[in-house]
Amino acid sequence: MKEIRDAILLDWIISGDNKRRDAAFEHIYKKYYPSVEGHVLRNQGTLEEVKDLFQDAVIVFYNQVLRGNFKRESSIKTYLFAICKNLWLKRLSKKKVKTDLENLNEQSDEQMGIDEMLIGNEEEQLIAQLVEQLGLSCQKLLTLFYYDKLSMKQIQKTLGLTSVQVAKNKKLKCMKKLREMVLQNPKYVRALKK
Amino acid sequence: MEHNLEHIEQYLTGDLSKEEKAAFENQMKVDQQLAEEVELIRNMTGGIRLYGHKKLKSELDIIHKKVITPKEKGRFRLLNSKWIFGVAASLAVLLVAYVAWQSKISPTAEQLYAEYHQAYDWTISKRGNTDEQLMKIHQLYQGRNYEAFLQQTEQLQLDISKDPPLALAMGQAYGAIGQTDQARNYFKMAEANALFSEEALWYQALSYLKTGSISEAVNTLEVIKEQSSTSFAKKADQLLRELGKIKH
Repeated sequence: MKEIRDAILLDWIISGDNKRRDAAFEHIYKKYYPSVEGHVLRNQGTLEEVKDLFQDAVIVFYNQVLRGNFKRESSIKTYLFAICKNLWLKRLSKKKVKTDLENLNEQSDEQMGIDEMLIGNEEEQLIAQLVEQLGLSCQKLLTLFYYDKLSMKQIQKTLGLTSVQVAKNKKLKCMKKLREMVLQNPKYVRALKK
Repeated sequence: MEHNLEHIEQYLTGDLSKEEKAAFENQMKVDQQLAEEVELIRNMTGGIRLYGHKKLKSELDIIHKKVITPKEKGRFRLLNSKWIFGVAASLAVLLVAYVAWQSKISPTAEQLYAEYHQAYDWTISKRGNTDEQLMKIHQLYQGRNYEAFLQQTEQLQLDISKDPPLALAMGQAYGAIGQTDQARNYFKMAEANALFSEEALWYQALSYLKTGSISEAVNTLEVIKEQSSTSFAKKADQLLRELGKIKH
């Protein structure tokens, strides 16, 4: 496997081009998955749990990079392994399995933040389901803007729209549509009253 | 939206200046409607974020399948464990694999899915005046460019319920991008047409298999088996026997 430097991987990740982003993820997968797998399997995990854990760690990493919380001079390897280790400790303690790992009860605030980010609250979970019922073009546009943090200019290019203004209008239209779906959903109203 | 979405978003992402933020918060205190709208937008962006996680996870699944082959897993363990344990473990893995292969004791749902699933072969009749747009989406489908296919098809606003092959193609495409619920909706749509019902049921059964819902898969396969004597019934019967070997 040809070695690709962290700086280049980071450029690909924030390029706004999902193909390049996925190429970076593929490289990260090839490079670090085996070590994480070894760690988790040695610590009472299953293959399925490794897969889940590693993917969640990549998702956390991606979101931290997009939010500017990952410093360029840090090492992707160190960062990724730290997330995997923390998440695995937490999942293990949830499984209530005794392990030979140290500091099992030590859960940092940071880990709590990670879980919150991955799982969300009840209202958000419900809205995520409603997003799945939106049309594909709205799903794509809203994800590019709110999840992948692309600028309106990048979105216009990615989706082949005629102007930035068209992209903005479309985004507003999609948000209105989603808002309507949310407010008409009795479950959402119930969740709010809790 | 009654209140300015952009302004609310700037507040939520912390992009307002200190003064603007304070003014906005004061306004929220006196304007209950604004406060509720801010909460709604916060939840909506949070919901989109969760959806984004799920979508990314399905993309990582594709990378996973591509990168992590059983061969690589075996090689990796050999390299990283103490070698003697590595050799022993590999031999044990090989032995188990051999036994499993010999008698097919318990294939997993995933393996069975991979073995039985073939992308739906959507053909369109190419008589004289076939719609150019239809040709375009057909090309995208054939090229397995499923996301673009779904987007373009959606824009055409066709009545898919009247076109069962297209419904099956939509199902296949949604399944391929990991949106299994949507996929099943389209398979069910195609099922309504008697000519396509068996094929539609077959794909529904496979989509259940893909998500590990074995009992639903079994129920659907039994319907196919009872209703017909076509090749689907044969395949259904065969798959049912294989599924009998899975613990569930």
